[in-house]
Amino acid sequence: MKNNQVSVRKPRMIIILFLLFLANCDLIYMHREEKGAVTLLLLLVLLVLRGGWNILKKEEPEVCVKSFDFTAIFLVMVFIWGIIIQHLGIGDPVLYPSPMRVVSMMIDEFPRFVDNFIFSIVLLIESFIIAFVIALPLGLILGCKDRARRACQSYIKILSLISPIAYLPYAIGIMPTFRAASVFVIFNAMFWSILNWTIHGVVNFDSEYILTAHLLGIPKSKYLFKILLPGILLDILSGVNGCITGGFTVLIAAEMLGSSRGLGYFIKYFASFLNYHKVLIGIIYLGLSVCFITWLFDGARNRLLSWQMCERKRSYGILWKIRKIK
Amino acid sequence: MDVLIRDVSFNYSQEKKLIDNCNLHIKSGEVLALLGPSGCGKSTLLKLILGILKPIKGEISINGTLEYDRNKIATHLSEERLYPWMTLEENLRLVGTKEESKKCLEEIGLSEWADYYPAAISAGMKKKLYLARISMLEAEMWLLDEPFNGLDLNSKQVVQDFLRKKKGNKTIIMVTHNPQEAIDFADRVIFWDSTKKRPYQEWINHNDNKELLDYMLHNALGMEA
Repeated sequence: MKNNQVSVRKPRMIIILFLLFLANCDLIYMHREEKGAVTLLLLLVLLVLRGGWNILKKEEPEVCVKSFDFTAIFLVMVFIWGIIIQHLGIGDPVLYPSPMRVVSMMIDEFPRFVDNFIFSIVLLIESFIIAFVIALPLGLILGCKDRARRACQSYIKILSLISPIAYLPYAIGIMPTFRAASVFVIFNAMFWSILNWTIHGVVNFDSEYILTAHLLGIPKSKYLFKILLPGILLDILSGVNGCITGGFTVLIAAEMLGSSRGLGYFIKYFASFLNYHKVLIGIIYLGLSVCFITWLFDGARNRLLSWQMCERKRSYGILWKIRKIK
Repeated sequence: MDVLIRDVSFNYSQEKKLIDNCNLHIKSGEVLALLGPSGCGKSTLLKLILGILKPIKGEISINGTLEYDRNKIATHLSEERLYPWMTLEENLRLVGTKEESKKCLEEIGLSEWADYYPAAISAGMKKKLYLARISMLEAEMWLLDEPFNGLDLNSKQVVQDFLRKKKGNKTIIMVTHNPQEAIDFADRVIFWDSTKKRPYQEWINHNDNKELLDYMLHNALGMEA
């Protein structure tokens, strides 16, 4: 039944995509921003081809529909944006650039973006490593030791609720460099998320897994690395996910306040010249950067938690023979 | 391992006694089946022998001592689990080498599932794996709680043959509510009285009294095998 629905939808999906694509091509053709127009056209072609390729490859219905929806929304957005700015002339052109102009400027600013992106990402990774190395063992200890956890609970709650940005003026005062101050503040944004989720994972770890380990006489080190850590990995990764999002927000704010490089600085720099087109480029690049990092993280998480996919598929009653990816 | 249970009583709450003055002697190398309805305290007795629970009265000595090495007891309890983030082979490798795990999976008929996660296999196959895992432990006694529960007739036969092969001179205490399983696997069957809360009758299982035993057990329990 489900397959029939999808097969009926296929030609309709392709026709809708094609019409949207044509509408956008027309819009792009009429515009003078040659570089932006060609790139945008190329992007649209790629998106449409990707959608078509998924259907031709007979991917799962969910994948095809998701790809179709994504492409359709993008085409509609670009079309409406182009119509409003280019054809109807609504909005001040100093504040609202056309899609072709945005793409054109994105190409021009790409080297500067890469430079700033690398600076920001290095800062983020440094802070993450420090936060992870401290928060994980501490979370494991506090999760296992009831008395220690109860003693620290209130402190953790109070400290984790303070916005990391609040530490920035103080951190700039006490740290030798702005970079060190940034690391300190980003560390603060990341640390509590990993710590809280690790404690949560250990405290809620299934007692039957603990009993099984006890019955099998598994030594402590093996229990830690083979059972407890993989068992609470989902919680740890939830903490890491929270810490990446929180860390990135704080990173941008910190760079806007006092850095001379980075994605936050990229936006602030052009804002100080009232170049709103480039501010918009910075915001789009920022969104794309977060998407890229989240995509990397999701890939790593899916890989690490591939067994959960098996459990989920089993509960749905489909594809229940899942082999470990080697 | 020789197990001597003397005047053991146990209760989870003050009001209700679960085991009352239980006396039992399990000889070394013997396969004993504790048979009785669900919830009568059979599994609790296994936990008492294992030392997870402490009796409120009486004592349990193993090989003549109260301070025995519990690492020499391999146990399968109904609460036991496979770790879902490990493949079947990795689950076995927790207690043995890669070669031992592979061999064990082969013997139990699960070698083609070695690289699959536990979510991919049925409850019966999981049961087989629990028992395979127990057999890999270096133990002198096996405590098995409902070891054949959820297995079809063929699998039951495979598992029983596998356990017999791996048994050596180990003592086995198994708990079941299924008379047929007790008859098929045990040397001695003890019927647990749920009103007196202790074992009250025992039958020795020889090849020539199987039919009589079958009849008696089914009558005692009032259930079909």
